[in-house]
Amino acid sequence: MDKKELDLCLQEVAKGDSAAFERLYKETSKGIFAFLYGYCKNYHTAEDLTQTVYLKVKANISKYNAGTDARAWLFQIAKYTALNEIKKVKREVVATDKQTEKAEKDSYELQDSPVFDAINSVLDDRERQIVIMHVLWGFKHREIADMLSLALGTVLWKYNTAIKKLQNKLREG
Amino acid sequence: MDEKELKKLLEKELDALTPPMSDKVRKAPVVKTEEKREKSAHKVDISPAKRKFRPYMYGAIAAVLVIAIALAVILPAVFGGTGDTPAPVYEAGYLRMDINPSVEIVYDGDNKVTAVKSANSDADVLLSAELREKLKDMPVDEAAALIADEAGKLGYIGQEEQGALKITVVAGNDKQSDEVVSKTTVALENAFMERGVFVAVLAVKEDADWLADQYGAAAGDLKEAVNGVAAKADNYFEQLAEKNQSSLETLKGYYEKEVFEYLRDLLEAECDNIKRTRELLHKASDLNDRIKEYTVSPSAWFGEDYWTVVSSDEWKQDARLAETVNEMTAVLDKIEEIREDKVDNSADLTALIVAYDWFINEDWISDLGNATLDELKDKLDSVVAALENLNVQITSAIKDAIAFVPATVEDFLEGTESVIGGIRAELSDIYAEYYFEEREEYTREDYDNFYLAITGEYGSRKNTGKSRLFPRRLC
Repeated sequence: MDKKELDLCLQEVAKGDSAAFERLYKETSKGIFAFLYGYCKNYHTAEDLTQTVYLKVKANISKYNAGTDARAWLFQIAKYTALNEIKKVKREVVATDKQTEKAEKDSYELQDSPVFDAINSVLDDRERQIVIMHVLWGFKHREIADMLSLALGTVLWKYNTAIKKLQNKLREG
Repeated sequence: MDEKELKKLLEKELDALTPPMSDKVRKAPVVKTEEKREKSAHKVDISPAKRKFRPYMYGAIAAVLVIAIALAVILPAVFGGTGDTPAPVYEAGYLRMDINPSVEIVYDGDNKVTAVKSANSDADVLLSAELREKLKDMPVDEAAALIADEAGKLGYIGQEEQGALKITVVAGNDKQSDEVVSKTTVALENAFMERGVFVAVLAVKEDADWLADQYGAAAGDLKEAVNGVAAKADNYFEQLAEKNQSSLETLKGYYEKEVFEYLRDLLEAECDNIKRTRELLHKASDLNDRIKEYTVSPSAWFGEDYWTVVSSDEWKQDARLAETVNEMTAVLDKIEEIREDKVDNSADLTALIVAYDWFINEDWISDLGNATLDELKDKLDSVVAALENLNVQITSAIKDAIAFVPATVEDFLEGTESVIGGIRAELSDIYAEYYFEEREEYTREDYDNFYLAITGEYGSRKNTGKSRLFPRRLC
C-alpha cells in the first residue's frame, strides 16, 4: 500500500469502515510490530503494544488530516506508544533471573527468523530504526532524516553500515 | 544477499511473527468526533520534538565495550656509572584505547600527549580538529578520560546500563607503563563514576614487538613504531580522505540516488501537471471553438428545427451557450489549480497548445524515467528551461536539490570534513544531553562490586558473550 492508498484507507477508517481497518492492519502491522519489538526486545510485549497502537488509531482517527503522510502519522503513534512503555518499565524492578530467563525464551522464538533476529542483535538502535523505516515502512532516506531529525548523510551512512552488518551476520549463518 | 532479498525475507519472517488483530481491537469503536485531548505523551505531531535520548534497552541488558590500552614503552638507555642502578628514564610511549571508537595516542617522556591518531571510522567522527588540539600536551591519563567523555557525548559510551571493557597494555619500561596504566585506569573509572555509568576498565599487556609489527618497524624497535604512529597522525585529512574514499563513494552513490530519485519525482510531477494542463487546454480550445462558432453561426448548433434566436442579442441568454461557457470556465479553473501562473482567458490558446504539445512530444517524461544521474543532470537545464518557457514555476526544492548534487567524488570528498563534522554534530545533539544529565551517584564500593561481577565471568569477548549477564545479541 503506497502513501496515497494508505491515506485513502485511513479516511475510510475514519468513516467507520471496518473492512478498511482490517486492510490497514494487514498492510501496516508488520512494520509496527518490527518497530516496537526493537524497543522492548520482548515478543509478548511487542504483541501487546501492537494492539495498543491500533486501539489508539481508532481512538485518534478523527485527528488524522486527510492528504498528509499517513505513514508518518502511524509511525508517531507507534513511537510514543513505545516510549511510554519504556518509561513505565524503568519504574519497575531491575530484571531478575526469572525475567532474564523469559528474555532468553523470547530470543528462542526468533530462531526461525534469522533476518529479524539479526536486525535486533547486530544493529544499534538507530541503525535498526532506519532499516525498519526504510525497508518495511518505505520511507525514503530524506524522509527518515526529517522524522528522526538527523542529517541525510548520517541516515545514509548508518543505513549502509547496517546493511553490511546484516549481510555479514547472515553470511556467518 | 542483496537488499531486495533481505527485504523479501524480512517480510516473510514478519508475516509469521506479527500477531493477528485481537478481538479487543476489532471491536473497539472508531471515535469519529473530535474529543478534548489531555496533555499527554501520546501527542501525535510530526514536527520534530525536542530530542532527549533515552536508552532503548532495559532489564538485564549490558553493552560490551572494549577499551584496550596498549602501552609500548621504550626501555631507555641506562646511564653510565657504577654502584646503584639509576631510575629508568621515561621515553616516548604508545597508548591505544579501543572503546569503539579506537584511538591511538603517542606521548613523550613526561607522559604528555604528542600526537593522536584515529584507528577507525568512528574515531574519525570522534576526533574533531578541536579535540585533537586540546589533547596535545595533556597528561595521557587526563587525555584518555577526555576521549571517553567525548565518546560518551557522541553516544559511543554510556547508552546502556552496564559495560565491560578490556585494556591491552604493551609494557617496556615497567615503571612508566605501570604508572600510565594505573593513572589512566583511575582517571577513566573516575570519569565513569562521575557520570553515573557503570563501565569496567580491564588491563591486558602486550610486548613491544606487537606495536613494531603493526607499524612495519624492526622487531622490538618501538621508537620507530611510535614515530610511525605520529607520522600518520600528522597527515590526518589526507589519510581520512583516502581511508574513507570507499565509504564516501558509497555514501555519494546513495546520496546521489536519493537526490536523483527526488529530482526525478519532482520533475515527473511537473511533467504530469504539464500533461494534464495540455489535455485541459485542448478541451478549453475545443470549447472556445464551439463558443466562437455559436456566436458566428448559432444555427449551426441548433439547426432549423431548434432555431430559437430572435435577435443577435438573444443568443447570449441561450442556455446551451451558457452551459458551454460554464464548462470552459471550469476547465480554465482546473488549469489554474494545476499551475501557479494564471492562464489568461483571452490568451491565444492555439499558441499555448503548440507550446505544450512540443513539450509532450519531446517525451521528457519517459526520458526522465530512463535517465541515469549524469543524463538527468545534463537534461536538467533544458527541462527546467522548457518548463519555465511554459510559465511553470520551478519549485525551489528542485533548485536546492540541484545545488547539492556533487559532480564527482572529488567534489564530494572536498566536503569530507563537513560530512564527518555534520555526523558529529548530529550525534552530539542526540546523545550529549543524556550522557551529561545528572544521575544518582554511586560509591566506590558499588563500582568495585559491579567490577567484580563483570570480571568474574570475563575472560575473553567470546566468554563474555556467553555469560548470562550479556545477551547474545551484544556479542
